[in-house]
Amino acid sequence: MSDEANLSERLRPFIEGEDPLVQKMITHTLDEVSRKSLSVDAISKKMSRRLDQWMREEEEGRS
Amino acid sequence: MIKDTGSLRVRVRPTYLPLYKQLLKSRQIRQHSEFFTTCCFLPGPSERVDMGNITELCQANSFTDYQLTALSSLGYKKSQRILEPNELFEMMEKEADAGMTFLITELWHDLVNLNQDEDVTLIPGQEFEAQVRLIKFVQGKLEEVPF
Amino acid sequence: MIITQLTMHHFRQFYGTQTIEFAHDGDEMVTVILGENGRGKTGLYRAVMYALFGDRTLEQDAKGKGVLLANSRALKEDEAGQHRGIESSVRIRFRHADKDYELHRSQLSRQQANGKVHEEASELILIDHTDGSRITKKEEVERFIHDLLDERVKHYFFFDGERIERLTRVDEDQKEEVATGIRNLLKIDQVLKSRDVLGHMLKATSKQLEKHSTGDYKKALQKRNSLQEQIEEAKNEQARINKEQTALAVRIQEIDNRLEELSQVSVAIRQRRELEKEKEGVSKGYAEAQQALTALHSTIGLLMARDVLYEVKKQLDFYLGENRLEETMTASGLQELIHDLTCICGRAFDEDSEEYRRLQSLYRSVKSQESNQAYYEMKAEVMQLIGYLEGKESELSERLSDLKSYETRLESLNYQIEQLNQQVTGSSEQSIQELGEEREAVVTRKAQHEVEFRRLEEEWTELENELAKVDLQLKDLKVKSGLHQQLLTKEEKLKESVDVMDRAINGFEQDVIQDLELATSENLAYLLDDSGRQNLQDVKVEQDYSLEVYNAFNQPFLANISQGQRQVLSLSFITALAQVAGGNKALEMPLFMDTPFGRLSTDHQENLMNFIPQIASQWILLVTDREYDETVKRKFESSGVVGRFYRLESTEPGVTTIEAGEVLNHD
Repeated sequence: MSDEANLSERLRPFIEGEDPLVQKMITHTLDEVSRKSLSVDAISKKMSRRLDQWMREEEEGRS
Repeated sequence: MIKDTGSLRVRVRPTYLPLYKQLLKSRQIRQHSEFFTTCCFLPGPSERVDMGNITELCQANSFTDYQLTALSSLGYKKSQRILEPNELFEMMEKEADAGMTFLITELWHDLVNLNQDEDVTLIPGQEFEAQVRLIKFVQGKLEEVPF
Repeated sequence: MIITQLTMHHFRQFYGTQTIEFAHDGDEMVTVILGENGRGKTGLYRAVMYALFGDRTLEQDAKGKGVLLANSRALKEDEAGQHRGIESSVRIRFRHADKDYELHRSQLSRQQANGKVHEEASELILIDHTDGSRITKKEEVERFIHDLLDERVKHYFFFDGERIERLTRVDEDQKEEVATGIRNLLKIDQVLKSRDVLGHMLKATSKQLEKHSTGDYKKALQKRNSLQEQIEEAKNEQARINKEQTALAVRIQEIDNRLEELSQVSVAIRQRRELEKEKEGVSKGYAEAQQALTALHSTIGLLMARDVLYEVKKQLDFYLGENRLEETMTASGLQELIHDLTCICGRAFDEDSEEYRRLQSLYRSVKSQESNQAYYEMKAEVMQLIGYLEGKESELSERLSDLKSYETRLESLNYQIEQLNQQVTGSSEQSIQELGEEREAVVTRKAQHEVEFRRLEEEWTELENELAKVDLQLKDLKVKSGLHQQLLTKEEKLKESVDVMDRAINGFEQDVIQDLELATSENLAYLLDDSGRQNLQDVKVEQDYSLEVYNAFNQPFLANISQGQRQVLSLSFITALAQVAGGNKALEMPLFMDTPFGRLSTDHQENLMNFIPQIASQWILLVTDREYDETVKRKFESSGVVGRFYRLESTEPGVTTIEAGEVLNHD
């Protein structure tokens, strides 16, 4: 079937112009979902940790 | 002509007797003499076999005049003289036996049961089918020989 | 996925091991397999469906009727020989994402004493020839195949001609399945899953926030969460009702169909009653004819004697000569006359006279006749019997033909009654009433659902209004709280992500549907003949991925199109799916078609043959001589897209061999 990475690419036009962190969150989630057949719960935990990290980095970057 | 058959008995092979009885019981025939006569005129195997201990079927005086005429004619045809009753029936017993053998081995071969004692009977329910087949055979024979 | 090779062993009509290499390189991507009906085209189709999905039956098979996958000749040989059972297998070699795979599925079968064949699944192995690794766990192999091609849409790529047009008229209850399959194919399912992930995260974060808050803020949060839960509940309930509504609608349709059948049934019942009455009369006649025929048995033996009688009469005639017996004279009477030397007339004569000699001769003749008395009697009786038998033969024929005509009528009546019995079976006047009652109940429930659906909508609208107020309140409180800033931001971001995602999904799916519509319309315009093009202007793909076509006056027209056009529409949609799912390059998926041209006009067929190679990456075509005659073959092969050509030949009943044929050199 089509390339795995294609999905976030194809969805990009619909999230353009949104908050950068939101965009990042969505594309990464899409990638994660299309790459692995993990459960919703498992991917949620993983993405939650990643979001915490991004927010910390943003905070640090600001300060 | 045989008018006086006295107490003469007509006999058949013991294993064939049940079939006569069955046809009578299922009302396919009214008299044993009827079917016996029919058997006499059926094609039989060219080799006559020993009928063994033959057993009584009926009395010769139960035959109708027409049946007796038919049988006498057959006897005359075979011997070129008019036969005495005992001679005639002795001959006809062999004819009927051969005719019956033809029926059960050819015309009715798939309609008959042979049990362990080798008694021959029609498969129950097939009596009428046997009758129809016989009639069709006779009809065919009649058409075969134009007079 | 591109299938490069199919190997079958003792599978269906294919005795022994037989292999087909499929064309797949570059322009020559078409494989044509020609076979008359019964030669095993569908056997090949079965082989592919069996290997990939383990399908033992196809939709076209009669319901409940098992299809024997094992080769019957091999089974017979085994039964006659060692009787250990035989292995039937299908191997598919395919390429996917630059890797070379082999899928092997097999079963064991054995002829049992009761004549049935016991079949048992044996091996399922997936080998990756690129690195030599193998998967043998059934679930893992199945998951791999599912990722290659969702089973729910397998019929869009592997289909038989009879079934294609049905893709445009999917049953109500299958619609959702098919829609899910298509979403899966288009990867929309993954987008939906991503949204679920984000929603899940948001919920978890909200819970966490609630746990760490105090006072009014906590109260407001609790209220918000509870409101959100109520809204979700109401919406779920609505979705549930919606689903049930569909099921109810399906049920009403079923009941209506059944009732329609039953109204035909009541006609059948009436007809049956009439036929049964007629049969009663005919049966009586038949019994009488039987009796009449049986009564003739007494004449049968006599009739058989007929030629003997004629022969004997002839012999007796010859023996007795032509002399007639003087009935008034007896030998003793004549003796008396001779003795008295008196003539019959009373005149006296002497021993030398003519009278005396004549009387002497008469006496001798009468004397001889008297000694032949028995023969005369026999002759008389024979003649009497011959007379009696006159007309008996025709009577026999008449009665026999009487019987036959009754028999024929009975047979025909029995057949008609049996046909009606089948129509009537399982139904009765009572079930009409029951169905009527059920229909009423279903309609009532449907109406109640509609009310409930609207009530829920009002409920959650109100709840959402309230939620908006709480959200405002929370904003105020948050400023004051200054607590858990990071959790608050996280929640905010996630909330925003979910909102954006919802919008994106909506946009994405609408976009995909639009692409599908455009591609389907375009393909349809390409494939249709002139008259079709004038009639069908536009295709609309509905939210559930069902289709509607519009005519030149922009009116829905699907119900009015011909079967051939419907088939072309399905093919347009299938190819559109392949195009849209494949993105900028052709979808890496074989199109495997069993007898697709049967219902197509020549124009449609030609268009299709030109079109498919442009949009698909592999095309495997199973065709009959009628669809694919020499002219079509030459034309198609000269276009340079046919890479391989095979012919299915039957060598003996139930055994087919695959023979590779020449492909016309187009250079």
